[in-house]
Amino acid sequence: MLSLSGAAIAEKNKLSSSGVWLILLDITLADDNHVLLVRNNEDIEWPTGSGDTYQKFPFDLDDMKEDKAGEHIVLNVRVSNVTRSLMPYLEADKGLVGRSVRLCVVHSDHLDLESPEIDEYFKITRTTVDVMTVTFEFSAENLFNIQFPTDRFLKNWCRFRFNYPLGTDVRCGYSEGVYLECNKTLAACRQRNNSSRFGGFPGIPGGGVYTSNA
Amino acid sequence: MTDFPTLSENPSVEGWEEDLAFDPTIRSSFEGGYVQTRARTTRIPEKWKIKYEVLPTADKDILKVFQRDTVLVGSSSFNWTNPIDSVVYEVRIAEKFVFTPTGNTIDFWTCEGVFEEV
Repeated sequence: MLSLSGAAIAEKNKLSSSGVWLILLDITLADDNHVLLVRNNEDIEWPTGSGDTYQKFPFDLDDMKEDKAGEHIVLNVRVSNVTRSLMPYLEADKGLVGRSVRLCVVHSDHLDLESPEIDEYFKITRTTVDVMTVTFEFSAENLFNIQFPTDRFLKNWCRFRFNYPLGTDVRCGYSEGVYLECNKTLAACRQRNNSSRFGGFPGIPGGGVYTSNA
Repeated sequence: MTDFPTLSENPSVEGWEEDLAFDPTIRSSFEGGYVQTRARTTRIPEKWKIKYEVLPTADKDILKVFQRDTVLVGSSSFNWTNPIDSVVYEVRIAEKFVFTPTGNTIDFWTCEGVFEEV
């Protein structure tokens, strides 16, 4: 059950108030930077003194949908795209699909409170763009898409990221710079004179029938 | 940011209007007969209706070029010094300037438009 702070309950019950319920969006980018947006016509620093300034930005939220079939909750958020200010982020990072979003509601008269009145975490599961709006679909992470167990033993598939640009993955360690990509197979690794660092498990036998001694 | 051009005339007092750009009030009426109100935004921009009564043609052309080519009517914002309080506001054109000749001559023009705070 949603619990509100004492200040929020007092504000909610007032017959008239100059305070504003502000909706904040905190989008985490690939490089761990954050895009902070507030649905308002003035920038907001929250919590006061933290240095985190949420930029005024026009966006709208649809109603949150929930059904008895156990589907994930889906929330569509339409962000203005008139100035194209979000396009560089979208183009650089696959429409921000898979990135985390924090949605908070705070009250403008109580920006010193560090806990928001509503605090929800989502993943961006779909992004559509037209000339007027960017529509993000916020939902929960689909558990069927999570790899489990995290690490698997594969015969001919390197589990490391290709080390280009240099420093991408020191476990791969490829540093000659002749090749700009890798298809992760042992053959490709040998071609790059890097097979001593191959991240697959070529010793796993393939084909035939095997029996266990367990 | 672009500045509003300096013209030889100030806007006339007659025709000057100041107002808020919008009303941010959200109202909810309840069965019990009372009304609950609160604000939608933390800031209310202002808007101004500007009227130049007798603007020479040269100034009218400057204003016309500024509106058409520099800020593309309401597309871009610019700095404008309010002649009444001398405060510089960032504004855009909310209603485009209309130019009408004054009297029977085309040497002087009446120009009327609306600015709104960004």
